[in-house]
Amino acid sequence: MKRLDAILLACSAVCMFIALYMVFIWSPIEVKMGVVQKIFYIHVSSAWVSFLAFFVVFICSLLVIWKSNELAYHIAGASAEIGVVFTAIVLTTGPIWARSAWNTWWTWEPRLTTTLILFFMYIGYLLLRQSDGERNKVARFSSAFGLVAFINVPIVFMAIRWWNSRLHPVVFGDGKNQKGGGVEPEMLLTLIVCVVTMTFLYVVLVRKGVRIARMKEKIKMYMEQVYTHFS
Amino acid sequence: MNIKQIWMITKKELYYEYKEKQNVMFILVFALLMITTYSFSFTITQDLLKQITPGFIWIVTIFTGVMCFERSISYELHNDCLTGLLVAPIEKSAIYIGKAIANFLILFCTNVIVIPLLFILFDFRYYQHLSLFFVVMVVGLFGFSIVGTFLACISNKVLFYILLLPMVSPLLIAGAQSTKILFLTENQIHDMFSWLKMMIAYDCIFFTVCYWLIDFVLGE
Repeated sequence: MKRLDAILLACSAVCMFIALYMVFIWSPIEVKMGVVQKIFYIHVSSAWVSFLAFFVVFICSLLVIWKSNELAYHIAGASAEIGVVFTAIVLTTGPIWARSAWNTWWTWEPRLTTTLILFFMYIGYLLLRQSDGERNKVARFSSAFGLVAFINVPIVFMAIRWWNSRLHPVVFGDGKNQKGGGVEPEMLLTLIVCVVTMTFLYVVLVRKGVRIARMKEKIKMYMEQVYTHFS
Repeated sequence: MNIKQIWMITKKELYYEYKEKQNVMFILVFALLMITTYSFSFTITQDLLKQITPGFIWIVTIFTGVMCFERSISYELHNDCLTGLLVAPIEKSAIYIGKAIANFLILFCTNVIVIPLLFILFDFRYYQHLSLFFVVMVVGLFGFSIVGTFLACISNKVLFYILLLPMVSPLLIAGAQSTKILFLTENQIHDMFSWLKMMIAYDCIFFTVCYWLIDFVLGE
């Protein structure tokens, strides 16, 4: 297991250097926005990781509800923590880009607002996991919330999309008429490398998170044994 | 789903509320205080009033609802009443649905008092589409009660506020928008129906999910 961790860490480190090289040196500078556009690679790949992380939380919550799976509970916790961190990166890099592209730090646009609400919901999820109480109870409650929160995401998105007009750039082939602005092949390749790198990083962090959670449980168990021994 | 058991729990909740009157009193005083504070904060003209009233109605509903849901579970913790309720020979989903219905009725009754008061205090005149406004409020309050009661079951006092507000945000948006259409643009009623459909979809989805999850949540 440790060998796999080392391999994953090495892969993620190598990919990270390649990604940085591609972002800052290899990929062309965008004509209209200039160097500011480079934040797009970090922004999009972080957004991908955060959505992936929350999807993993949803799947793991289902597993906890269905099979009372211990490992799934730990993976859900680690994944939610990483998801919240990456959402914070998305919410920080977004406004920096938006300031030069839209001339405003923030706008109540569907994707921005949905991400913000997502951020709040999963902070709530993490707080729920850390709340006092019997461990099984906390696991039950947090898994139920993990499931309900994920179901809420598309509804929030739809609600905000109807509420507000769209301002977010459609870069790839989606949107109303299936037409995006499009990107240069070099830019697309750089983005793919960034996404792969971030995914590697996510896997490394989740594995580490699960290990830490298990260690914490072990320490708690030993402490209880010590208390019962001396009392 | 055992209707008799659900009705029993709802009756118990309503009877408790009738005896204590604390929840309704709290909600009414709190709502009135909010109205007063708002009138201090803004210089309100009739035009502005039309703009802010829909949002204001829903904000008052949400804040008062938060108190209602939280109390409906927390008072069961005294003398370990919740354990008594859980070991009683009734379905766990009946406890949840019974409480959600009682919360809905309490919130509805308080809104019936608070909203006309709000109209009177701000001198807001609105007579058209009152029946549609009533439907929007009922659908909104029902969804709000379903999600609120469920979240009150899984969280403690402080956490409840943090969990509830993002969860009900689609309902808040849809509720405020449909109310706004009713108040401001009477000729665009068909737009209001899309929002109403969304609220009904939200209610159905969360009713199903919460009903399915509640046995697992309330546990052994």
